[in-house]
Amino acid sequence: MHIAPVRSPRKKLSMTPLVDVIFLLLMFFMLSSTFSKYASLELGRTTDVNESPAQTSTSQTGGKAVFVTISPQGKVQVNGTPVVLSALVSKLNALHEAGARAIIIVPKRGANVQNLVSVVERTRTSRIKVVSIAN
Amino acid sequence: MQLAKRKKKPKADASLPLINIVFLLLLFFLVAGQVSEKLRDDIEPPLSTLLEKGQPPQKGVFISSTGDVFFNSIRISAIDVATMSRADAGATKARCLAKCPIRIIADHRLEAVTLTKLLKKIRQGGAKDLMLVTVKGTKQ
Repeated sequence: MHIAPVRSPRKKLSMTPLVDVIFLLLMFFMLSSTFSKYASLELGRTTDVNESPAQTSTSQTGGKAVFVTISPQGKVQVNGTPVVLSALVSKLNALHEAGARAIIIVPKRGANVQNLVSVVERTRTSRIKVVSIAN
Repeated sequence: MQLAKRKKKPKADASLPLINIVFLLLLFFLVAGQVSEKLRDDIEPPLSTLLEKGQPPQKGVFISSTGDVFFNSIRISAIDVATMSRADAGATKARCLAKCPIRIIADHRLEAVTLTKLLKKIRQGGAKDLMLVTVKGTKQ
């Protein structure tokens, strides 16, 4: 009697668990990822510059200090003269030529953090390297 | 005459195109997205255009538009920020002890005067290195 050898049927690889896991991974990455680009503004280390800005910056650098005042609605004044935000850097560079070596940013009541950040990031690109925020 | 029964070929699964797309989506999110801690809904960081791109904040001190300070979603006093973040960093990661900068995520509507007052208090509490988190934008 001839008995045919039992051929084990090849099982097809099941896709369902794989797809389940991929779906879960997709969900995780969709929910946890962010697409906003963040940046950070260094606020400096604790020094006495923050305690008495005018005094220390003049004594440290031997140059004049520029006062940048931020009024409500983000209006900027450099040493008392109103300046448009886009012209701030060129104005500061001109003052650098005239011997200014430090910037002191004085936010007035009514100016918000957005105004402060806009001014600080611009002053960082100017040639005057010592920037401090008065408090 | 008996014809041999034609063996049915297993049809390719109809869900394969779907899986392909899902795979592509997965790869997209893996590559393009960055995992970050969920920021509080009520706090929108200020926009910046000129600063260089940095890491998304993983852990930080949140300051709401009214000047309330939150750490790990608990309202705390500004003077305790340094101690608490140091304790937190020590508990989670040994490499980040005392030297790690403290990331401050402040709402853009917060009064600048209030922020500087709070920063002064945070520094009085012993914080050395402070960073203000901003979102990179194209216009302000």
